[in-house]
Amino acid sequence: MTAQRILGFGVVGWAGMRPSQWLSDSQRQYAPLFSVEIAPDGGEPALAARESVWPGLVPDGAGAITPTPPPLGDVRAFAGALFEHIEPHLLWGFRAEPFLGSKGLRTFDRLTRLTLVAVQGALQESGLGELAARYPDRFGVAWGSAFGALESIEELHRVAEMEEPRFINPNRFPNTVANAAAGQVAIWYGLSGPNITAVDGRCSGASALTHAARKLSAGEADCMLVGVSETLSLGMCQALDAQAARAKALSLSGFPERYGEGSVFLALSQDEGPEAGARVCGAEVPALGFHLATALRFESPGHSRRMVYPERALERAIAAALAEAAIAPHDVDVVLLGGSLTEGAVFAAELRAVRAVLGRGARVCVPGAVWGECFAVSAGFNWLVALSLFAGGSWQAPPLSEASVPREGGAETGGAGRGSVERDAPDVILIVSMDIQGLAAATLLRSPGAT
Amino acid sequence: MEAVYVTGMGIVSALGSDVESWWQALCRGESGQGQVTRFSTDGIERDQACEVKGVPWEPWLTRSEQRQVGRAAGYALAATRQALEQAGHPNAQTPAPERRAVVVGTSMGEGDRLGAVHRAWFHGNAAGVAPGAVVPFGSVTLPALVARSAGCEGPIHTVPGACAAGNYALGLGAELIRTGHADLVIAGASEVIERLQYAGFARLGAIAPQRCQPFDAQRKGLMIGEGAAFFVLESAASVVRRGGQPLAQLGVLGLTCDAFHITRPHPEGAGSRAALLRALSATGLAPDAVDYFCAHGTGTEANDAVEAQVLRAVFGTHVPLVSSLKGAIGHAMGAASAIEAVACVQALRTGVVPGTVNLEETDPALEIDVLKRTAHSTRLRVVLNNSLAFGGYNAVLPLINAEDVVLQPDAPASGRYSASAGIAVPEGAREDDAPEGVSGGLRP
Repeated sequence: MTAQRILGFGVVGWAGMRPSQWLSDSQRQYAPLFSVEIAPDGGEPALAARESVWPGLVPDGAGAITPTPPPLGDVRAFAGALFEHIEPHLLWGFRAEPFLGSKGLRTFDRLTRLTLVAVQGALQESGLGELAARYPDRFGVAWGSAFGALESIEELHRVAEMEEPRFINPNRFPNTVANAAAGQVAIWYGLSGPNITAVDGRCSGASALTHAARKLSAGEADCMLVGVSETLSLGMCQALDAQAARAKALSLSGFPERYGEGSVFLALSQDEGPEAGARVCGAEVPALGFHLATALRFESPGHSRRMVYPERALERAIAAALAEAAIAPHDVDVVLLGGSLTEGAVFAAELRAVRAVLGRGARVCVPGAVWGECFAVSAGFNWLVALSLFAGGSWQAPPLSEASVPREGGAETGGAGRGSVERDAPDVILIVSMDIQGLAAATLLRSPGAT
Repeated sequence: MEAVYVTGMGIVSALGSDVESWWQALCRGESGQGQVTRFSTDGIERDQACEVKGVPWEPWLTRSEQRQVGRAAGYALAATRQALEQAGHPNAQTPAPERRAVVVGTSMGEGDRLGAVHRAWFHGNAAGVAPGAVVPFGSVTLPALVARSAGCEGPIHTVPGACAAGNYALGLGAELIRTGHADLVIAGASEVIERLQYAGFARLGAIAPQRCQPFDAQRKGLMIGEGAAFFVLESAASVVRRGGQPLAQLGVLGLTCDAFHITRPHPEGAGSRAALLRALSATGLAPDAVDYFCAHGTGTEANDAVEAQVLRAVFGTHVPLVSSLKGAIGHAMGAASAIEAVACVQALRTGVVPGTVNLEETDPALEIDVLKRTAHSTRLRVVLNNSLAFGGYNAVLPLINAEDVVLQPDAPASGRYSASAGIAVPEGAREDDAPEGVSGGLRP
């Protein structure tokens, strides 16, 4: 089996959402003790690489939730007025200019700007910028997003509908194509290797990883920049608000109320073995960790019209990833679920699937409780959590007593106390995702130091 | 490396919605162009397109599906079911559901549904957005519907590779089989004409005022089209196990990115040339093995010039037969290269190369010969399906005549070809390296 090494990462996202504000006691114990401190200057969301993210990811014990005050003019105030039933944490205040310069950004949409900055972080932190410039055809891009260019499509729909089609800005029209952000990454950084866009809902990150792994394995690239990005349009928020309103009226579960945006990128190379280290274009480069295996599986709802939480597909995906990585179920130290805990049905389905394969002793964490539902980027943030844990970060293993598992309705059934804070770095981490259309994904990562 | 075969295909297009009648119309040199009927073109300087007429997907969908799915999904399901029928196992359980995968290409998916949601919101404010409106925003709908209809429970992927999405889907689908992640893959692409997309291309100045004339001295742009094409791809073992009939063999997808401009191709075609060479070398083919080049041929000044340049650079004075189908079926964007792959398979099977509708005088500056409207008959061994796309995407897919391959389910599949038949083996490999009857080897 072949594996890939993670050489660096870049991230853009919001920080400082307090799970205690909206989680019940029993749900809260699955929320991690850490949060991403993305805005170190207390102002706008900023590029975060190892130096700035890791202290935020790996705080020392309680009190680690570090809320970041929104900048003046933050859309949350605006969005709060617009949407009654959801709280979208949009990155409208984000400025890419400090990272990318002011030239050439005028026609880019937010999705592209976030993506370009996250890629810059991954290239800088991995130290691969020079090699990328020298060997552009050996660097590729695999990028995923659940909703892609939604905001640009909405913007131009608005022009076409409320004004006239002849006022559509031809320079902004290319933004409406789903692969525009990945294409702009290639143009901005001059990367002419394989370029693949994956739009597979909340499993888009896992999908991008599989595409990248195959291109590396086939020798089509020495390094793949693998990432996910998500931005929400106002129309999308409107639809989510209507959905949440109906869910509340009918007491339905499974609909998150907090939403986030962001972009995460990893620099990935083919594993040359523990002795050889990681090599890119003939040069030896330091690596952060191994990406071992990713598997996706689909589950049909049959004739049911209900939304499907593909529990069986997730079980099969986990089993397939374990088999491909030759890792025994009991060797998985931590499982990072993909939901945000406010979706009781998703959480319950993920938990059942994990337990069905790994056993009831599986130690589960839901980092999404910190940042809310971020669709494809939820998995990307979990990649970073895994890296921080490999680096020796503290994490919490809640006592998973039966009574502490929320029912599908999201209502709690008992109040088990918080677990002790674990301080041993894990060796193997499983990241799972599921999409309501029936797709599920499992990604296994192993620490570079693990045997 | 496992060899991958096409065993079924289906189509929905402006020229017809079953492979046989579509192919006959294409070879007769017909065009599916007409006035846009799907939406008002008021405020847009163009009004012609190659629309799918009527509701040809109806016979292939249940009443419930007809009520629930959008046009893109309707096209996709109709094409998928045609493909499964041709492959001869619409309901069989072999390969196992876990070993069946789906890869779908598209540019904007259910773009018209999204437009309807936005219009409701713009005009009706918050009350105009229904709770169920979230679903059309999602991206997994298309492959999920295809997977359900084909009993697939393995990996499913959507690859929005813009106007190269069809080749992406076929190439990455074949990759799933080669890497042992699936035995059967439903791969294809679907696209619908939508007002925003149409207006956007018009604003870019890319749509021809009257007709699309690929490679012509008078060419003035593309003609927007729509449709879908889906394929059943199988491993040799799967084909043999269930007694299937291969229609063609797929080579290895050549993928590169121009990294030059979001809409314009690299002026020297560097990325396109690299993708073509990658496809040839990874499949184990020399340039002179190629008999037909199905061009992207959009009819825009830049695209056709770059493709001609790449053809001259790669093939020198031995440029294979070249034609473009865009004058006949329009540019179906995400579905274009999938639809053109149907023509490639049909060309291999029938020995007929469709001509280039609306090509009257080949642009002398291009310095290549391009087939005009009349179809050409000749036996074909290898065909290249070329595509370029927004984002600088380049994707080239080789297809090989099924008569030239010998199925060996348990052979250490190689995708290699015998030099004695005029097709070169890969660099570094000797002709006699290949065991007799190796999977993918040419029939003696």
